[in-house]
Amino acid sequence: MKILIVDDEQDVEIMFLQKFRREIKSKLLEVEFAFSGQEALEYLGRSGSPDVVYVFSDINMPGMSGLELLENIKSRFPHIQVSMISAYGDKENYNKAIKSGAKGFFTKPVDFESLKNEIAELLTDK
Amino acid sequence: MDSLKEKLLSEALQKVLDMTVTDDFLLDTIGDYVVSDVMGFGTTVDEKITGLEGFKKLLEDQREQSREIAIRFNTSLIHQRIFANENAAYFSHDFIITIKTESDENVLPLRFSTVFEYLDQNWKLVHWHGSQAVDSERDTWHRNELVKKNEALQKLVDEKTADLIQKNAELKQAILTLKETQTQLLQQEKLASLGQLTAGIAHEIKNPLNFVNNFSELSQDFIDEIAEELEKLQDSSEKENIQELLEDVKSNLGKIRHHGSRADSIVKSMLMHSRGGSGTVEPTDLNALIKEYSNLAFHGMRASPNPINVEIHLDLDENLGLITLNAEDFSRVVLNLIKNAFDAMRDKISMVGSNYKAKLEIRTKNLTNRVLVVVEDNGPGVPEDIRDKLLMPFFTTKKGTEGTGLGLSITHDIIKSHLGTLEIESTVGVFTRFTIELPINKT
Repeated sequence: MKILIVDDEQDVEIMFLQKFRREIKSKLLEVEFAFSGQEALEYLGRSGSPDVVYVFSDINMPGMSGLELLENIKSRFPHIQVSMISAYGDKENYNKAIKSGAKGFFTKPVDFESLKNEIAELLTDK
Repeated sequence: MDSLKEKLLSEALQKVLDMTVTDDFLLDTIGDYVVSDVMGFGTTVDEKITGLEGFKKLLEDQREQSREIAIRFNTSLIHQRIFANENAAYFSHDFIITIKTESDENVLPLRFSTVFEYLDQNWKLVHWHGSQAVDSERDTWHRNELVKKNEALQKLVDEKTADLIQKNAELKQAILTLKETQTQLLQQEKLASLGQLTAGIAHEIKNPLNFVNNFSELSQDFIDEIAEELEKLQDSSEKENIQELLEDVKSNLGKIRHHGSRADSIVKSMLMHSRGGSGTVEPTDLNALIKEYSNLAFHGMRASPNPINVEIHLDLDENLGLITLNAEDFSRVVLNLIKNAFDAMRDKISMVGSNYKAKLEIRTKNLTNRVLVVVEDNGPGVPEDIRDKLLMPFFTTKKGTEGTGLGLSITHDIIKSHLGTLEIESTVGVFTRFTIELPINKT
């Protein structure tokens, strides 16, 4: 199962890779990274829809914001789940995200336990 | 005296009185009743009149001066005498003048004496003397009168001076209030821009800080995994050395994690500062809130690494009723003030020793349209030179890593958001008193 992480902070990649080291090693999980909304859309368009099942995206990014990306994914790839990750845990962002079809909303610093549970749920569903 | 002569005399006297008091007497005819070299004294210093023309001028001046005011005369004969040979006579009159102006009425008691002489079948005025009676009983030389005048003047001066002193004090107070307001405004302005700045900084720091915390946590986990793997290897001095080093690295990571969390809590407080809490404003039992959170603060302190003995005294006004406030935010205010008091009293214990009995008092009082919350400790007090810095963000007297310097600043912000005020009174070595005043919103 493949998930896509979108964040303009490059160290997020290393952090996710290390956090999900075991799952990745045992090939339960594949993690891809995009450092902007544009890059994420390009990747999804390229790889074809059945590949990535879940996108975790930051909200505050230069260029396309996470919320714009969410709307784009939902209109072009409606079967892909999207959750937001943001340092700004305010109601406005939360409401917008949920209204646009986000599955979850995680605030930074990310509680990796809850993120792991979310992904474990996906894995058991499969 | 024959009756014609007597009639002429009384007519002459009447004419003279008329010419002095009425303003329609034809002044060109006064020569019929006054001798040409008449001499007379008026009531003022300069009124020393010789000759008919002078007398006429005096009467003209008098009419001029009385044009704007209403004057009433009242004359009464006191004494009269016809001299020997019945060719001269004198009269003394009381001459009461009432002067009425717009605002008040003034009574002038005058005395008027006249001397007439019988010349060429006619009685004519040869001398007159007007004087003003002053209130100077048994003081012929008018010394008392002067003293009285001085006293009256002094009294007036004293009154005016007292008035001025009071006005001056009022002005000083007004200037003081203005200055205080100015300082407050200045501080508020500083705080507002600082608030925006801190929110910005806090956000910028939050992200890298998250990495520091996350990576140190991850590395700790990895070291545990490495240690597990290492156990499987054969014992050797190298293995032992590696295990020791790993322990050190793990401990270092623990330190990074610890100080990272410290920074994180500061950042969180800063954000709280600029954003405010999330609770809702609703009618709250403030007394119950104070009881609950003072209890919580006390037990939190007792469970901390540095517990102290404190006597807590609650004096809560039973007639407080429900106060409309943000309970979540306000409980933070109560906690902050009590924690500060505990910390201050702990400092005093370490300075003064165990003879000192730490005491905390919390009072509430209903002042009809306001409510008063007082938190008072008998700790070391706050020196005057730092009292106005207490509410500034990042100002702290606590040593090392103990305080963020945001507690009182946040406390003040929360009180301000409730449209209340926070005042600090203190005497070094004796007490510190925080007084919160909140308006009561009647619904």
